[in-house]
Amino acid sequence: MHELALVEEILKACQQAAASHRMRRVTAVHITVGELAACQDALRFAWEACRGRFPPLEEARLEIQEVPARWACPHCGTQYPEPLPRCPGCSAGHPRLESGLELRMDYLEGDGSP
Amino acid sequence: MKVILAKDLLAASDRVAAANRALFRQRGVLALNIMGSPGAGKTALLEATLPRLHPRYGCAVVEGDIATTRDGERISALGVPVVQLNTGGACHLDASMVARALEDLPGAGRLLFVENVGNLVCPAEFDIGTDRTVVVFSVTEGPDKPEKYPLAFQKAHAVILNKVDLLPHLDLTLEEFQKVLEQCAPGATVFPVSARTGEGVDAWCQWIEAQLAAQYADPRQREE
Repeated sequence: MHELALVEEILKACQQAAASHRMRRVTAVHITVGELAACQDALRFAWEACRGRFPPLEEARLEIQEVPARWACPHCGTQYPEPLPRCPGCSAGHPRLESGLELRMDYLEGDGSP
Repeated sequence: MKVILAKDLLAASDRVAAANRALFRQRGVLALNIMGSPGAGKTALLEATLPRLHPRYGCAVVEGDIATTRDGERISALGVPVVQLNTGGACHLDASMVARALEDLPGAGRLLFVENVGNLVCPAEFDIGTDRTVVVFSVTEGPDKPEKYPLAFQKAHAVILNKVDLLPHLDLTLEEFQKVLEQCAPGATVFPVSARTGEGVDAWCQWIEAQLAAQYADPRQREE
């Protein structure tokens, strides 16, 4: 279950950012997640379970932007959305993963100090 | 109010992996990431491999398990330096765990085997800085697994088809397994092996020796 560890890492980083910007309350955290990097449902579940321990994020929504997985042939450049062992274009092996493993924290929203 | 974070959660991990890789280059080490299902025979393969290679090259092992030191004890009994990592629930090793383990290993040997947590999913997703990826896949797991767990097999430079001594008891032939692997792991060299009887272990050891030579044939050579 590495989603739990990921969520804790995100919450910790947000907590630090909120403290340095003197935020009273964080309302939303926006992240970008590759289709293969983590399971969205598991992330949401872990988020609900953990956010209460990270003030001021107790009520923060998790907003996930998903990036679909894409493979590209290192030989002819053809892109395809399935982990095919061989390129549908030229049947070369060793497809290169172009996207789908992203894991990025983009921004958070909330209320500043009064 | 909006606060931009723009923090890449994987970048930190990739930096540690790159540092591990730099350390391997500096020490003249070839590092192999050994992954496979629980019970595929990863530790048994090492038990068959180390007596052949340790006297000639000097080996070291990092053992990754969720719990227990059993695998570490098995390797230690062979007189090979080993660090046992217990992940306490994490389903894979990450680069920083390996970095910590490296601090406790003597830098004299040329070969480092990192036995990852028994799991065909997550270990394939995390770069730990190793030079070669090896999947141990036993014939008793069934021929559908390479298709069901594509990433590990696609990343593999070698696939150890283990427990071939059990093939007479199965409905599938060696050729059928090899056909599946040709499809799912086109970039991998396949070694039919029985870690129990020693069959095929020599060919696998020769492959490791060739990889070590290739890694350091050209000092500027970059690994894939």
